[in-house]
Amino acid sequence: MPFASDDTLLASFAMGDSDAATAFIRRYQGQVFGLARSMVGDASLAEDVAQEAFVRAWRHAEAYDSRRGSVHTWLLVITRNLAIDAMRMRRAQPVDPEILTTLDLEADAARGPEMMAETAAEMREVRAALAELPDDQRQALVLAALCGRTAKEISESESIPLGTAKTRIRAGLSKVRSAMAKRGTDG
Amino acid sequence: MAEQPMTCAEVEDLAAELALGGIGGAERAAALAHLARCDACRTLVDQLARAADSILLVAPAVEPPAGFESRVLARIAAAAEPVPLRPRRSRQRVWLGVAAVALVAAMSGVGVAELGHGGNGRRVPTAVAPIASVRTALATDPAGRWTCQVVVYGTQPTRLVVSLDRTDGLSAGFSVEALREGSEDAIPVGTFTISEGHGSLATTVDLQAEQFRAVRVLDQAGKVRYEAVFPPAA
Repeated sequence: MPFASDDTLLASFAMGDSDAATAFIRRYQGQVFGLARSMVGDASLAEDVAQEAFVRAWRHAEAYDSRRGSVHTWLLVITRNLAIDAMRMRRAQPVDPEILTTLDLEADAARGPEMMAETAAEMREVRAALAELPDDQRQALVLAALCGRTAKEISESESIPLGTAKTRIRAGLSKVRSAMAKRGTDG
Repeated sequence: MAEQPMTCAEVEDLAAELALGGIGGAERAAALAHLARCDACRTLVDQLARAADSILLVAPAVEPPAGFESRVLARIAAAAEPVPLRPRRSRQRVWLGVAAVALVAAMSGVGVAELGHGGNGRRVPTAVAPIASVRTALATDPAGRWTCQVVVYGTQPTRLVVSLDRTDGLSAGFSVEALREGSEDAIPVGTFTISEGHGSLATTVDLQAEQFRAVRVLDQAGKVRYEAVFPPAA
């Protein structure tokens, strides 16, 4: 079912449709593994996190609420939370944030023909909002949001006071929130 | 030792990190306790969390190592196998158990198994038999441009998912009604909105999956825009 909507695919996946399971995993595996890799660094641990994210999605599909966001975002939130848990449990050392050099805010938002238009639009909005941030705020926010760094870890890696790290994260996220809310109102 | 209750100022200071999942332990517990009784702080954190969740979309995609898909499917199958028998299993857990066995069976190509109780107190597959049906129906608008997908599955309650996808970017509200086999009476099911051409309704209905004849999607003027007719139930 290559062209099924995300909601339909999730419902069928949860119900045990093997075609849907395969399609669901293929649709999201790149982003789920990519996020896990960005956060935990180690490829083996990232695969473990990514696998578990799909198991959780299958197990808790009934908890998905479309009013709270897309299936895509829901699955990535599961991935992020699992990655943070894994990092805390294993007391993983912060890894070199490769994402700071590879994150391309100018790239085409849509990733493949199967990405829902609504999700692609949301991705464009986030990229635009991040691109508008001052460099120091964007760097702190990306480290916190996509690498799972705490404010304390950011203060140490960036050699800045803890209060400054907190301020940069808070200011950056608040601006992204405002920018997206404004676009939502304008749109 | 009990944690001191947090003040609004303290929670506001932590709000961004809370939204990003970067706070754990006692500090997180104290903040969540405050959010449970403070609407203003809860709204703030909720809004920041939505922004934080959206940021996850821009993480660079990386294809996992070869065989990832097979390993995920195997892990789901392993998670599905031992379902402990519990004295007070909720309906949801039963449903998930059935779904789990259905998935294992579907992936192994042996059909769908009924659940029974093994001597060790665990639920185990005992026989191959049809499971609660999954029925799908498709409809297009009169011009054949846009697609509406309908899926019904499960029992007690039956779950209904209606998805509408258009490429014209329309944002509008729709209502949904079900038609039962052998009856012309429409049963109101719910309403949903589409944004930029996409939206869905996921709800439960008091009908068996095999009792559905069709599902209609109506616009706000009450005009039928889509009618998805199910193939005859097996």
